Amino acid sequence: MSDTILKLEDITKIYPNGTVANRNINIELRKGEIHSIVGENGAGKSTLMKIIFAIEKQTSGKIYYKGEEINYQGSMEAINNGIGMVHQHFMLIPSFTVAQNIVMGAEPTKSVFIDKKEAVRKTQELAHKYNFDIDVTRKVSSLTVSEKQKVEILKTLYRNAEVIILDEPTAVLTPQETEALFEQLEKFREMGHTIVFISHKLNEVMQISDRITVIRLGETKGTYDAKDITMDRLTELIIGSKLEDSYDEFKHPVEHPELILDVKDLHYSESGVTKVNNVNFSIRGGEILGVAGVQGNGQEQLIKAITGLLPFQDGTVKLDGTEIQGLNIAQKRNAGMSYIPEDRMIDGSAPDASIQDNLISTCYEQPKYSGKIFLKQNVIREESQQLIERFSIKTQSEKEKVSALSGGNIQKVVVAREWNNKPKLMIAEQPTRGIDIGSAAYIHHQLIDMRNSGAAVLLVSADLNEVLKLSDRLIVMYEGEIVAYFPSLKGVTESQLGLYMLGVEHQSENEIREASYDD
Amino acid sequence: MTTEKQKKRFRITDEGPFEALRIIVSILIALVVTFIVLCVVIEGDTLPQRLGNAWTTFIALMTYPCKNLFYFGYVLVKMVPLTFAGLATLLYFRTGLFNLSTEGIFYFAGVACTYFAVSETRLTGNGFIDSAICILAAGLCGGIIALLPGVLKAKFQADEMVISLMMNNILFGIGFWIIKTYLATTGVTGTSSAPFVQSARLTTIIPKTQVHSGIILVLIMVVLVYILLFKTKLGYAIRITGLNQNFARYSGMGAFGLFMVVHFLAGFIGGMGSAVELLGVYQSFTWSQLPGLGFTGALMAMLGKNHPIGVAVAAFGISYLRASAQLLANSSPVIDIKLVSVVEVILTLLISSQYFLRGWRERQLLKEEKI
Amino acid sequence: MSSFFTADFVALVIRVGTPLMFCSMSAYVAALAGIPNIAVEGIMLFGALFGVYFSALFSSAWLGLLGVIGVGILLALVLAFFTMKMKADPIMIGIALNLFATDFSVWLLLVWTGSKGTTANLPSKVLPTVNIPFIKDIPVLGTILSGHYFLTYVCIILAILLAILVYRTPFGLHMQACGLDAHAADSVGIKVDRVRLIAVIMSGIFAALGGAYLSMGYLSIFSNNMTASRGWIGIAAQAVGGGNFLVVTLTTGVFAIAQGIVSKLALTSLPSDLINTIPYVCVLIGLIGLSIKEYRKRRAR
Repeated sequence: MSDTILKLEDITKIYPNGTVANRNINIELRKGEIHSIVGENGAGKSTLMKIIFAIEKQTSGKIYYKGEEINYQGSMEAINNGIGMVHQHFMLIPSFTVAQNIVMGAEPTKSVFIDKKEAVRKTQELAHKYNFDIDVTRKVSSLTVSEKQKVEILKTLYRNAEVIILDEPTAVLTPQETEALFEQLEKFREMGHTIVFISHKLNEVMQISDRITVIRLGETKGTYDAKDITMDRLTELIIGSKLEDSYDEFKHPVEHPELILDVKDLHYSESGVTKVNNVNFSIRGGEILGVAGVQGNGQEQLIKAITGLLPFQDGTVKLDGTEIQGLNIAQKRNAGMSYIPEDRMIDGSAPDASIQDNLISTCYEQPKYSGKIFLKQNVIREESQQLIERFSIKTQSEKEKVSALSGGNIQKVVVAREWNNKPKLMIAEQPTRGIDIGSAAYIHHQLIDMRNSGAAVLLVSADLNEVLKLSDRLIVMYEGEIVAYFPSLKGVTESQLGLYMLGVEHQSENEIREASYDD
Repeated sequence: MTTEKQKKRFRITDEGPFEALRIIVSILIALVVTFIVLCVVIEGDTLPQRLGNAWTTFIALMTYPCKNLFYFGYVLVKMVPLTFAGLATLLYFRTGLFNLSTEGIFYFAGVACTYFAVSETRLTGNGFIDSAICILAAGLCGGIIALLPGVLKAKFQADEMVISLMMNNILFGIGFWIIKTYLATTGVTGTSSAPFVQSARLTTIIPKTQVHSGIILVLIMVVLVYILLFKTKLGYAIRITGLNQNFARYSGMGAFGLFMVVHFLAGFIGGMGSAVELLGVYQSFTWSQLPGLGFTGALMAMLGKNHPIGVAVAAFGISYLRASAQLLANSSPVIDIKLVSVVEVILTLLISSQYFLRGWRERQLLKEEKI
Repeated sequence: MSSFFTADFVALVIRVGTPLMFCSMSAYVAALAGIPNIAVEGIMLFGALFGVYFSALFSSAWLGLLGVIGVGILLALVLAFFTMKMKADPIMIGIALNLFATDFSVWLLLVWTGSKGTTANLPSKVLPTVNIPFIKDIPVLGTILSGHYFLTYVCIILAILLAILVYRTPFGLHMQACGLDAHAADSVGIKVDRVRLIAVIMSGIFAALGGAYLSMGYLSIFSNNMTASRGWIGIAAQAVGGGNFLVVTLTTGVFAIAQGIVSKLALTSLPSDLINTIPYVCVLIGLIGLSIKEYRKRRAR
């Protein structure tokens, strides 16, 4: 196999806490191919890439690059030898310029000083060569997400990368931006670069790849030519079973639904920049209202304004008929609001606290769980055990730290806690991002159960598929405003939504106003 | 299930036993280094002679407090202020605050205590009530002072560490000035206060030792802090806020009130500790520089893993060596209480090192994995 | 009041400001690279002690100074090793080193001299005072610029070099990157640990030189606790200025002026203990003002 550029042989990685991230992984990458690595989140893809890029060290196994065994001591060596990586979380310094970010670590110099002019010239030239339209003297903090990604790719090209690893590159892009990225990747392939594409979006993988390697639970489940394998077979390899397509059969109508959430003329701005503008919608009990949109179009701020994590400037938010603007977070929660936050590790849990402590954080002041001063330890323990069982959270005991759980199980802890408050309004923000398909499906069913029992659900997700599958009604946000409202999702397609998400189309004001139930 | 039973088996690589192992190894290394330091400075003409002398001194250092009750009592006396300071700092650390103001509070609350303790007119003459007045005064003073960085942190998110460090120096300056100007014996210029009224001083509770009633107070405080942290709503909020402030806010816990309460409590405990130390050990206020107890308290909190009982154990261990060194100071030219700083620094360095012995544990785990 | 701000006063400010500037640079460079060094005070104390000890041992102020630099590097290595290789909390290590310095320096004093007070009986050497030819004869300017201790001029040169290093060289960019986002720096092959190691070593040297200034110029002996919390002022200056060296320098200047006023007032009958708190009160007010300003900025959004 003369065209093999990178070969992994029996790679095993065991973390100090005993977690086995990779076990006996074997992969061969060929020169000039787009090779996808697919698997659920937590399957060990990212760890494997970190090992190739020498950020992590394998516990055992060998890596061959261009026929020679390599043992890089740090990412520097990997970079110098032509391996580049675009990380899922951008590795850019916001207060530096684009040029500074690109040359950082390999600066052009004049004697001992940085040659700033040369740095700008070189990076500009590089951007032109690869058709990236970007002003390199701008600060990275002022760039859009897809521009930042371009800077990341330029960084690898500046260092003459032959193998470029892209870790979930499309997670932050619109469908149209994804298309543009794919064209770019195909160009790189023609120029002889090897692209490693990591994703869990199967249609994209099928579209772009030459070959596909599946990883499940840290082990390889084979490498396949993209043209020889079907989507169904691939799904089976990834999760081991087929998943359901629609949840419609599980939804039951709710009788005499009440108006639960009513948002009127909501306006929120940050440092003078309007983030949420003139947003109106309402939700009745027994409904799931989906919010679609490319990330960064005000959904996050909308949720934070409603939940009280950010103070909004104008408008009214009524929960079950009561104005909640003046209330603090605890009072809003007491009024019947529950909230599954976007980031389960930052807002949604205290990873170093026990599962039990994480399960009671929003309810420990209720008389059921505590007296005036003391916690009712026995009640809390029993209830925690019940929740763990009901939500089938995989753990030894309720005393175990949340950080020891897998992503899916941590998310289940979050959902269990919010469910346990018996909410009238459940706000679910990216409820299944980055977790295994099994847990995701489980969480979807919980949301539907809450809906069926009369709660109003506000669902925000960057995963269009999720929004389409779960929602009863849908709004689309673009640049802080609602640009489309769908009272029913029958026949609505992803590409149709894409046009609204990108601001190409815009419904009339009257159509959008329908999102509010006016009495 | 059989697999679950197997996991219950004792393994040194499990979190608990491994932590214990780390602490034991740290202590051993600290003691070995102390021995080496002794070898370097000890008198002796030949190497064996030096080693012999160093060994004798080392053994004396390790065992001296066990020689009689008086010496052992001295350990307990030393342990009291360290435990108080450790408990105060622990509350900050548990809330996720890096506040080091216990140092200055120890000093200034001591001044507040002295204000009452030197004057018969401000006291009743009843031993119990007088001690209580002085201790409460110091506690309240400490608590109120601690509210300043508390407000700044809770309202403006000011950097509590640097502010607390600046406060330490300011509190010292003002406190020392008050002692010299207002609380010294009339007509005498000096650096100490007038003598404490006898009724304010704490009574000795074990005959033929210096052990005073402060040891009982501190043990009560250890239990109270334990209950506060692990059994009450407030303690729960403290722990959750300390582990993840975003999560606490998201859950609806109010940070402002919590920060104020924690600062007041920590300041109160620090102030109490100061008064107990002064009234239990000193005849008058004689601190002419910051006593260093607040910073040592931070070490106790760290060595005790931010657990009240751990703090008491750490304070006992360090006090044991400090007492031993101080008792031996007259018999050996190279032994002084300050020598114990070698043990303290090494213990702190090693125990706060997350990676200490990690490589070894990883290899053990790998072996098990292979089996 | 006009008699206050004379050339003599400016010279005094430079004299008392030099150790503060060393401390600020020490705190700044370490924090810039992402390892907060709060052991400045302790390293400074050891610098002061070993300056006296080595200069007496070798009968040479210059060899003494070399020893001081060695001690600074050694302590920096301890900080670097435990924070970077052992993943200990830098604040905890800082506190431990400070306490160790306070106590162990007294013990060393005891072992070396038999007393716990000062090194008065060690035949230590001091570094020379530098009189700049021509300039020293110019009135006012001569008083201000000439006749300072050797390390004052070293301090000024080091400050200029540090500014150039940070803002003009690749290494400076790397230091900033390591402090702002170590992962990002690492991802482009910057050896974060090495950059930080060098920054911490610089930090250690600066702090130790600040100590040497105190015991080998400003005074000619080491005395118990002689750094008198100067290290904390450097840390405060860093806290005010953050990554901006100019602001850190200006802040240090303000503290130096406050310290100068203290030195002047110390000669009056005002209570010295209270006057000594002036620089700290300045720092405190500065920090409070800064956080209120930032709070307002956050609120305004």
